[in-house]
Amino acid sequence: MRRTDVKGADLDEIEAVYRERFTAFARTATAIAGDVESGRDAVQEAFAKAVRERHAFRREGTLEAWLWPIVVNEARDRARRRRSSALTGEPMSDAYRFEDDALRAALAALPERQRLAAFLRYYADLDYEGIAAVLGISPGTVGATLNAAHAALRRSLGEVRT
Amino acid sequence: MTEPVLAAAFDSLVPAEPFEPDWADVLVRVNAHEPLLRRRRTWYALAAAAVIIALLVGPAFGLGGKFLDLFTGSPAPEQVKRELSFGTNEGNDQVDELMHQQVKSTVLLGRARGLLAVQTTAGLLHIWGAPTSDGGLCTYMVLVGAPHGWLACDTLAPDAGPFVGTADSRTVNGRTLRYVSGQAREQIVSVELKLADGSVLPVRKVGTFFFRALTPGQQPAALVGKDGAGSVVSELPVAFGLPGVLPPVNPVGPRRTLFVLQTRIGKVTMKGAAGPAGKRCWIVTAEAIGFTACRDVPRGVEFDFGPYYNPEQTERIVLLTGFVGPKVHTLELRFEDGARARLPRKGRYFAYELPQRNWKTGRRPTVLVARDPKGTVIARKHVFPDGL
Repeated sequence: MRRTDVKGADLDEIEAVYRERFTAFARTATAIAGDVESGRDAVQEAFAKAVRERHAFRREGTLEAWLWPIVVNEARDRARRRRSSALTGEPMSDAYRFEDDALRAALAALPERQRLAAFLRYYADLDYEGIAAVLGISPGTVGATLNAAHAALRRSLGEVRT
Repeated sequence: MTEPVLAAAFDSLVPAEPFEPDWADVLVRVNAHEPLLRRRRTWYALAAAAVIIALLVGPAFGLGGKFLDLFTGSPAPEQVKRELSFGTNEGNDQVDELMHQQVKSTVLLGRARGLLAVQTTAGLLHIWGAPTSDGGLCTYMVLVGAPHGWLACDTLAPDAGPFVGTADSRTVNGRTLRYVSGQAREQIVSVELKLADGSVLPVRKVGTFFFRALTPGQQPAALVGKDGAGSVVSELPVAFGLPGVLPPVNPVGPRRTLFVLQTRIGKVTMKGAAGPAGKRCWIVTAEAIGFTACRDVPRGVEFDFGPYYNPEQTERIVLLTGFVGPKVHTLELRFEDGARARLPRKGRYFAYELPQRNWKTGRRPTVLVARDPKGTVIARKHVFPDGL
């Protein structure tokens, strides 16, 4: 029988969330941090931090909901340190690169909250309540934030493509 | 553009395929923790960030510690105004264009006032504040007798929540100050701090700004904002150990001068030093602004890219500084117009003043390329501010 503290998460629980949702964590962190290496490192360090501080999980929500802010904040920290939002990696085709550069520029122009909400929606597939929990805002505000982000992105990308 | 098309664009930006979990690596990191570099809060980062309405210096409430009320509302001295002036984010369209910034905000120095004077375990703390033209607030905190303080500016976005706050710690001259602070909209009349042990502390609020110093051992868990009726409007988890509140990583070895640049803002010096746990540090110093970073030795390149100013903020330069990994033989900077520049190095360190002709759209830097002695590319890092 697995032992679970009255307060806190146990190692097996954290590992289970890590394995089940790793791609979502890694994609979101990569988008925020600006490159694959930093995004992956952010997830690894965030989960190491979560393991170290697992006693702080108070079981007032899901374990995943508790983990997301840690991952997001690790990724944000790397973004600030690296001061880069673009992805590293192999050279892409011109068509791809054009679209990605346009998207990067459009994302960079968004207020941080809108950008994070968009990443959490698209890469983490979180619902409004989940995004609200990560960003510390109300679910209603998430809707408005995402609408604003979508509108800005549509406008920016549309302008680039014409 | 429809939302599915937007989703496809996001998919192309960060594909799902290459990510493989590595739980063993997580466990290794658990026991090999080193604190990360504290974020450097430049005015670029700050102006695009989060918080507030107008600065309203209110009466003292006497909550949460010994506050020296005569300080509140007192005019800021010139030295403090000068520090606060660095929160301004306008006056040079060229730099804004280079840094892909769209936010303009001026610190209203004429309205700079004392917010709080607080007797903390680290000493007497003065907190000065000045509103910004975009409805934000810049604060400058300084421990009395310390050689310098720290500046923070935030502007609360219209669609942001009712308040924001963080737990932070600063060490100056061996004195460590731990505190929570933030800013709240007018609907938040009072703020409380929940500690990890379940106890609740009142938080001092002056206008839209709030602050509470913590004693050693007090672990913050959440900030609670209440309206005039005492009802909870919002609760915000806060904790030490999250990004933005991490202790700084400082050089541990002797500093060696690597570059001395004569620039429009005067002499700029870059020094190198060893950091803790095998990290390398670089320190860039100008008359009015400095930058220190300690990072792990990379396979490719670690860098910082940003503007530096003279004390009057009438002149500015843009520097690209950092260091490369041991296998890097050449480091090349590429530009939007296809031009390339080989960056000057001293050992593994480099410092490059970006020419003003490369501040304009179409000529801005795009990517750093590191090559080994055979000319093989071993790292590429995009040079593009993220606006955070």
